[in-house]
Amino acid sequence: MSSTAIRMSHSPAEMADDAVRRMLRSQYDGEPIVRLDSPPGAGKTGIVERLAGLSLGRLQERCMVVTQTNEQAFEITRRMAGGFPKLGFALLARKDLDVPESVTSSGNIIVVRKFGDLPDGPCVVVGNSEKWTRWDDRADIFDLQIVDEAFQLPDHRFSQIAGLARRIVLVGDPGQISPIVTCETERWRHDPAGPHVACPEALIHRHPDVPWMKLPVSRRLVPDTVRFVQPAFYPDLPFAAMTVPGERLLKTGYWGRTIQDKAIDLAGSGASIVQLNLPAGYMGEVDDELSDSVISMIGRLVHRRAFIRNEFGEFSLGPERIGVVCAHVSQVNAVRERLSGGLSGVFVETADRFQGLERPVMIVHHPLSGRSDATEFHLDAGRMCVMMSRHSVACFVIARTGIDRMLDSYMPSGNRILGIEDDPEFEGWNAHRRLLRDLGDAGRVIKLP
Amino acid sequence: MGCDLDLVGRLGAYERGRAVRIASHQKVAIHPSAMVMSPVAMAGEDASIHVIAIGNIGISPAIRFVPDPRMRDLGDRLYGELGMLFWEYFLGCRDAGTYPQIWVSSRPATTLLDILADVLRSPRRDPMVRRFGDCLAYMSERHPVAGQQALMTATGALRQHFVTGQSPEEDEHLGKLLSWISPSPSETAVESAARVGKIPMGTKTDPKFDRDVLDPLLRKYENARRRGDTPAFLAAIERTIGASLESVAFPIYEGIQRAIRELSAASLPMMTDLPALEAKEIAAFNSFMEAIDAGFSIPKSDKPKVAARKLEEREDAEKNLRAAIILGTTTGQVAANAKGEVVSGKVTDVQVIPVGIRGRMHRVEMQSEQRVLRVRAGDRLYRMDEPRLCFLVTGVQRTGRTTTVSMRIRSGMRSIGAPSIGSFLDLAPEVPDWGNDMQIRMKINRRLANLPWTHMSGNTPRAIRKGVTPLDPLADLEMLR
Repeated sequence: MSSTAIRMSHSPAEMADDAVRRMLRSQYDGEPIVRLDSPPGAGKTGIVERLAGLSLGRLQERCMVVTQTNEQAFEITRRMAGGFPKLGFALLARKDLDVPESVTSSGNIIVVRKFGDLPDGPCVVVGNSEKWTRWDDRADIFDLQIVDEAFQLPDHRFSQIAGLARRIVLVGDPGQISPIVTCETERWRHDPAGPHVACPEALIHRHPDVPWMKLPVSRRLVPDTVRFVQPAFYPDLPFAAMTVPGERLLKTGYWGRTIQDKAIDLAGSGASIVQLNLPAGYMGEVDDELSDSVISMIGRLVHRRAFIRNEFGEFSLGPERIGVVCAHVSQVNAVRERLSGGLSGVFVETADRFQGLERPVMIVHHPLSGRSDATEFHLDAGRMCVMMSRHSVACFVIARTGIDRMLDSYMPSGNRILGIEDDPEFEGWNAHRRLLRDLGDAGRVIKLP
Repeated sequence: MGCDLDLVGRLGAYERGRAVRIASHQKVAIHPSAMVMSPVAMAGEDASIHVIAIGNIGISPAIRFVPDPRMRDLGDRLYGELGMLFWEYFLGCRDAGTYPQIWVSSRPATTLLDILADVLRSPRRDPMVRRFGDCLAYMSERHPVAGQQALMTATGALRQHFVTGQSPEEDEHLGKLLSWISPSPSETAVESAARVGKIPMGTKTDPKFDRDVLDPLLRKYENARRRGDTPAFLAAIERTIGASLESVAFPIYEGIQRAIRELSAASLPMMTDLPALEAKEIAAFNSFMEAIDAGFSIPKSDKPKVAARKLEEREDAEKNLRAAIILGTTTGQVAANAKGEVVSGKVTDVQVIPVGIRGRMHRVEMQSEQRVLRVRAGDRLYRMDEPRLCFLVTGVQRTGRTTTVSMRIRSGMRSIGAPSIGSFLDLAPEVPDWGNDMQIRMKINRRLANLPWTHMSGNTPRAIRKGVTPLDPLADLEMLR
């Protein structure tokens, strides 16, 4: 079902608010567990913030918020404290963890280093999942547990924290990278609720009657991006963009005549995703020419005094508003070492580390670029989905020509398991092909010399 | 970068015309009392043993076979015999305070044992057949655990120490792999591998052999049984079948023995933590035997609590093995350095910062020229030559090719002391913690003493209303801001 099939009787903003109301009502109704699927940029953190605010501020409950990383814990605690300045929040952190000043300086955040110091009575406590698995005191369990980025939490870890609260809300993006499990999992491959499976998926297999809500709107992605990303990566989760076409644009202060400028001008006319193809070639993990092209692209944006126009006004496109995402650490390093002092504010990271983050303008090092084959890692739909959904205005994908031919000649391993409906290999392959084809059909692919 | 090193090794091997050693230390234990075996299944009967060559290291094998494994009574007789043999071996290991180790040719053999482990533990089978299944289940359970020393594949053990000029898939053929490691003087490794590649070295017979030799014999046997021919006549056909099957199993057995000899002949120093891995094996084996004594066997499928424990223990084993290889082998350190997991650089600044009334904190800054670095704020790093000294990374800044890593000393200051300015440091991302699996077990037992309802079958608990719902809960909530 495509995004256009969504009933447009309400505006996207109204649809988004209605979805939030449904979620809040579920808490008044006392639903023991709710799964909330969210497309990228739908406002998951906002929902987590509101649920926590409701739990503490209105229902006078003890609420625990579970994140997957310390950085996510810092970010959510900051958001909640800023969003509800009259309420107090606690951050659960290990003894030697450096907590940023932006958290410690907030007047309504306390940092708790020991479980014994957890607040009594109504409270909101934020901590990462690994930390929560070590909490032993069952006498004073929480009323509500909110799991943020739930699709990154494997079920074996969720099993260890699910009993810590009377009600649970799982909030996450089903299109992103699956939980990282480093060991051999062959023993549980046949089990759709295995210990390695993302906890929302495992939950639905065990309890298909659990309330399952879906956010229908992305606040981050513009309509043009949704047009490509939703069918490729979210075929079962139709969603619309909050903004209207033309509401967010990339503009420039100067004219340009290079090939990269053609891509920038295309973005300026409303094409939120543009792919630039270098000549075909088989490369190792690091492609120096491609890394140079990434830097060149950033350089053109800066040289042309690019700026962003969005619903909040106009902002110059400084390095801090540009991000580069790659599949491999070596590629990240190759780009970083080329960033001169003035561009050091550009954030460069792997897709795994870019999850949960965004930038107005993104440059993507295509994971299949320069490859003669396609492995499970590079085909992973979740990885590509993260890369293609970090931008709020424009995204430039840089790749080597020939990815479509390589995909057409790809032989799937056929490594299927009886009883398991998912086929990540095929889904990834299909998503990549679909995206490339759609970009090509829309005239979004430019050849670099 | 890791796969680039592998590629470089393969290209070098191809150029040289023989395998290249890629390990500075021996990473697998060769247990003196290990069993060596080469089970072969009947074509189309994946859960069977048609013939098995079995023995100890350096010893000629005993050959055991079943004329036709499709005949359940005949198959169970063999499995019962093997069950007695294995159980005797397991009991002997327990009495000696050691662990059982079994060598097979390659991955397909482990798959066969895994399948048999499930099939043979059916409740209707003879107790000694089920006991054989229990022993195989233990081996199959251990096999996927990183660093395990129980169920060894000859190809896997060799590939940890050598790289060839052929593809990894071809390396799984033990004969081809051995051709590269010690090629014959009269032909190239490629020629030798092509020649021996026609000889089955896994768990299946060659289809031509099946068609031309085995199938006619099996039909002859089947017909003789149906006719009710004399036992002497049947025995004669059985001997013929046995002789033909021996010609399949014996080369595989010999291949495994040769693989073990090649590893021993390399005379590599043992990896520092190999004794720790063997200690883990003994502990796992003792746990298994205690469970058997108590009447429990390894379940065919795992409930959530057991699955959670096993997964976390496996992840812990991976982490420990990675750390053991980095800290305990030269090649491991080099590979980790190339991948950016080991941070190497020069100390450029050391500062002592007072903390509180009498406390002190040591800040250290180092610079690295590594092109690839996997380090970020919050990571812990350990000095490789003195792992008790632990640093906490507080910042990472890259300028061109130089990365400045800011750290503070987290532990080990009193016993080791701060590094001096100008000294070079090699820092590893982790150190083995061999006692952590016990902590995991205790944590899971505590945490999942009562399984949450989310992980049990049955209905979802009913909703319990929390009060009157406002007309517009969103607007009501916004008033709290």
